[in-house]
Amino acid sequence: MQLHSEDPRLTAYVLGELEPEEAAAVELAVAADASLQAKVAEMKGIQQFLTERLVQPADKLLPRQRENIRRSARRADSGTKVIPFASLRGWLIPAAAAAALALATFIVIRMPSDKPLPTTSAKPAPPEISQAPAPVAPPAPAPPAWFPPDTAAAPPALDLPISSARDNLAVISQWVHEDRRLPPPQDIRLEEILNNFALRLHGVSAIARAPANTWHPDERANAMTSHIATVSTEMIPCPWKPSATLLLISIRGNDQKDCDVKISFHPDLANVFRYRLLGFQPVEGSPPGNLPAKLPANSVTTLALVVEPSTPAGNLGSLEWSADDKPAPAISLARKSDAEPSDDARFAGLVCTYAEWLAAGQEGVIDAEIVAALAREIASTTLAPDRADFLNLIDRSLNL
Amino acid sequence: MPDASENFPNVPAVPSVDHGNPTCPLTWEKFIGQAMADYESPLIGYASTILNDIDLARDVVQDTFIRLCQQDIAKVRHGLKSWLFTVCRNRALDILRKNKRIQPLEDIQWREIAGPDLQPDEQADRKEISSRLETYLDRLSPNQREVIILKFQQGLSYQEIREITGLKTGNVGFLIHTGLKRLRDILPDDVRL
Repeated sequence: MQLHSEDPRLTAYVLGELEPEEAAAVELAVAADASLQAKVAEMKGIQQFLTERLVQPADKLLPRQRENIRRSARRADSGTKVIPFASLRGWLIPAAAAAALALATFIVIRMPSDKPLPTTSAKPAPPEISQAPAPVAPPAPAPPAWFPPDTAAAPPALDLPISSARDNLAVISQWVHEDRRLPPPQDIRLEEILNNFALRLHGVSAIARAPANTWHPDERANAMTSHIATVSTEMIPCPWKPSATLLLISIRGNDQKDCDVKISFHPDLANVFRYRLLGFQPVEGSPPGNLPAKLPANSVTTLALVVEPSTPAGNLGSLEWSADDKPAPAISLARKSDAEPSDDARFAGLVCTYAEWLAAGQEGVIDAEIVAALAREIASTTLAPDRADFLNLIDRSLNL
Repeated sequence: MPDASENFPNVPAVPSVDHGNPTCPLTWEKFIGQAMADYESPLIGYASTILNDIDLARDVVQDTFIRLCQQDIAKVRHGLKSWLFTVCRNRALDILRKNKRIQPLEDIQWREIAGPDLQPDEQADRKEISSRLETYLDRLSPNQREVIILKFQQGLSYQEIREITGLKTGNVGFLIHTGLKRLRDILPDDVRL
């Protein structure tokens, strides 16, 4: 074999990459040539140097990442198809956001024009709500309850119902996990699903407190007894229609006492085109009458409204409310374009999107891809067990 | 680096996993556990050299293993190491392409590559040498740099590097040969000693 000192086979020989016959031939050539021997010695020196210096790092995955992988492995063992939510905190967030944005853009382009319901009253009829557990629903879902402000009449308002029911999530879980079918659209109660999660919203909040002179002498030392209810809000872009705002309202009652909370949304006519309360579809058999206002002790309920603005900025209106018939501080709904949505608000957005997808409330607008994209985004954060279970429910639902 | 097929001597040929059979000797959980034990750190190290970000590298490696769960064990077990590095590399390069905030492949800055099991003074010495070595590695072409890392940091064979990078085996050998020659020419003696 003829070799020169810069032949790549010499490097391959030093690195043990040659077949035995070729290695033997190189070895013979090297043995017969002092310059090749010197080159081989030099090559071995650089090989040793690099091997020692390019030491393998000992970095490990984080515990939650290892658990995510094990969970995927267990799913594979159980024969379940895995959708890789891939909680890739750093890079998947922008990727998922980009995907969601692309989907949302597509949705906006093909979104059918929602025709507002004809409204003759300045104050739209309050939606009827379901009783928990949900009774048998009518075969046809209710039409979307859009409430356009009526500028010809007195300023409109939408009274909001208070419901602490939360059983519907268990019903959906049974359909998906045990019956392996998606529940009928009319069985979906968004408001009950939201109530399963303790959401801490990062927008404007207001607290209703009882006057001190109403306190029982034994309770005066306990400041918590003055608290009747707290209303917290946060506004985020609507996940399936980014030009709209998803207004989230969380109402927390006293830890020990029931209270009555009456709350209404007063849109700013200059900035709001129309709005809609999500969930609370009319259910056959539910009696007409006043909206429920009872908030049981130690409970939280969350409401979600889609508000379509008519201007790019400005106040969307206000929330006026009372607790135990005592007026509480109104909440101004000022939009902040640079506000970063809180994790809880993003999770609530996912809940709303999933429920609307199941309920076919936005048929043709929300599809499985947008639900999956949002779920991936949520999966990129550290999740409480109940939220992780909810993502598993979505995962299962998307595979049915 | 052990061969993947040696790590999983009990892996059945076909089917990969008998989901309903409790006597099946291999479950995905065991398979993934063994794969993670063998390749978790090497993959993170490799992804870190591409992404220059340990958190992103961990995310990529997590996604790589989750993707592994979606494969047929029978199809990947014999070339597991190459499969893992290939998927890891592709995912990392995807991120580089998609995330413009991260430097392109040509401008990769080498992260610290000194070992963790050294005494503080040794670590300091190696850190300095490694830092200087990074400077010289950065003067190689991206292809030369990558194959040298895969060869000397990850201990992969020419064949495995070919499978991961898509280069021809001859090209791998040539790139390593020319890369080493270039390093010999530019590395000062005080770095090599």
